[in-house]
Amino acid sequence: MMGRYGNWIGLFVGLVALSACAKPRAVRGAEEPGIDNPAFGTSLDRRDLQKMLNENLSVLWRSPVIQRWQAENRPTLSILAIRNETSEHIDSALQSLISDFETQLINSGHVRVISLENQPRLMEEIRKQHAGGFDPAQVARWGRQLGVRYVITGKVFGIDERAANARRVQYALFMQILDVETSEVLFQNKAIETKAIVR
Amino acid sequence: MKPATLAFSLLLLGLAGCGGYSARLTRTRTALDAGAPRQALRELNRELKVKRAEDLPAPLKGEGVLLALERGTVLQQLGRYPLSSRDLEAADKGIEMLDFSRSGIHEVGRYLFSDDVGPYRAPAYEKLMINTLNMVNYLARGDLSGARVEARRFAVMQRFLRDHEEQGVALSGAGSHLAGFAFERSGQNDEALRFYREAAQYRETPSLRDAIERLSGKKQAQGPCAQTENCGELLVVFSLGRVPPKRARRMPIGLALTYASPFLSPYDYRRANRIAAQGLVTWVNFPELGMPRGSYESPWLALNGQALASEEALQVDVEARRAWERIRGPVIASALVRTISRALIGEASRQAAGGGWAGLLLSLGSQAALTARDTPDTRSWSTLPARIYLSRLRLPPGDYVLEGAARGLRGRRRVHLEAGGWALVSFSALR
Repeated sequence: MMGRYGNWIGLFVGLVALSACAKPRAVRGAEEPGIDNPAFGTSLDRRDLQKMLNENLSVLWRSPVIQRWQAENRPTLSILAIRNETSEHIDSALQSLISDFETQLINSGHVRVISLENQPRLMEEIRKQHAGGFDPAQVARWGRQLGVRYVITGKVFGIDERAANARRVQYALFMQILDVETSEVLFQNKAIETKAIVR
Repeated sequence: MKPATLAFSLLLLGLAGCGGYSARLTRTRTALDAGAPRQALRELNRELKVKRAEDLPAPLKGEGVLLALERGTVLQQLGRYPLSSRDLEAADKGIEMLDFSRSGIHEVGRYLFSDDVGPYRAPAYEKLMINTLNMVNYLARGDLSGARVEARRFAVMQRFLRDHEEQGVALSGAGSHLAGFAFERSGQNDEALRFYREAAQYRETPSLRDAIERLSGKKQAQGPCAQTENCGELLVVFSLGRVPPKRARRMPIGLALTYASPFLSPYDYRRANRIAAQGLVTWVNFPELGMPRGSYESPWLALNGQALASEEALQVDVEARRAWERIRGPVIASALVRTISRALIGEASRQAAGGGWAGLLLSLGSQAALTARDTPDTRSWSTLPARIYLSRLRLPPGDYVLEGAARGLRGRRRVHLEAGGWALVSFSALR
């Protein structure tokens, strides 16, 4: 008789066991090798941003604009903003990306970088107005205000789709380099990355 | 009696007496009813097991996700928009993960064990309201980029609901209107127009009609603020009332059978009838949506002392009622199936103990424990406002004083408008 109802009892005990869970704990990266590897969500993390930045930079280093900068003996450049056009709150991650980008450009020695962080009022104006469609004339005006020869700007797009058991966001990071005098686009590239939650 | 059988019975008894989610929120709701949102915030912090609103348990799990939603709503009423955003965003991701983590075993548990077994599944209107309220948070801070992110998330959810549920549940007048506003103020008029048209499908209001005609070039603006760059735009959002919370209800099995018969298989129906006739089980536990919290009238708004008209953009409580009516029958049916299962478990326990007095006691004990463990699923976002009103107008640049009142609560805000600028002012009366 026990055998007849044993399955029922086993099922109940199994369901109760499902509710058990381990306590969370804080760890350091050094203590947990590979802690940066798992994706925690569909947002962009440091690893994704580094990958996208490196992809854009590797194309930039091989582009004609580098020869032009070398010929001009380290012209001035500023990174204006990278617009978030995704469905994820990644603005602080994009700020981090800009800092990484500035670091790479400074260390390359090709250009002199004027950081926007030293001009908070202009930064606020750009943050507020850099919301609509991309306007090279406007970007060039900001470049002139900063007193730089070139500006870098960009945007991140996301194609966000959801299904019953999954969500996927396909990101594309576009970067542009503009000549402030002529508003001419001298360089443009796109790097892509996909993040998803799947079962 | 075998030790395994005894241990199982003790385990069931140990699980007995768990209160439902709604009962956990009683003190929070009482504080909001008393017009004391700070007290409500303290109660929610206590439930989340944190000392202050700046702290958020990580990762959010189980009912913690719902508690974050509740706290985000209360923080919005208190005007603490960044913290409200943080809570709503964490809960938004949490709700999504709960959706994905729900599995067949949870459904089995729901039919055998308790209504609230398994992760919470938020109804469509709650999912859309997360992004709607968070758009208010970002727009109140003047952050168009953040508001557009929420608008896009809102659109993704709408698309999903349209594809996987009914067309109607994807409509949300307030959410689409706010999304349209965020895109219009960002200079992305095509996107704005799409959202405005969607909002008008839910309810066409004068301000929506005006925005649609203006953006589609059918009408030129009139009056001193015809030129957008000469004036500023003010959007007032008034959230008031609360959706009715779910409450646990016990119903005689005979009456429950009447309600649930269309949703039961003939086999289950016969078994339930037989158990009812034997008098072994007399009551069925199930959740019920509470009564509406009175009638709702438009809030009183005044700009520099002059009365200001507002438009009803969304009836969240009506959406909640519709969503509940859709699932009510199956919920009662699952409660009945659990009742049958308990009777079977009781019989199993009696037989396993070899019958006699010990078997009878074990049977009664295990059934009593399972009945107590059968917690009706009263989980819902219970601090969600019942109604959302909008008021939208163009004004010459300058300083203004806005006053608002609803359901016995009053608020006052100062706002500065620049030429070509905009501002969103939010009032909440969650009682």
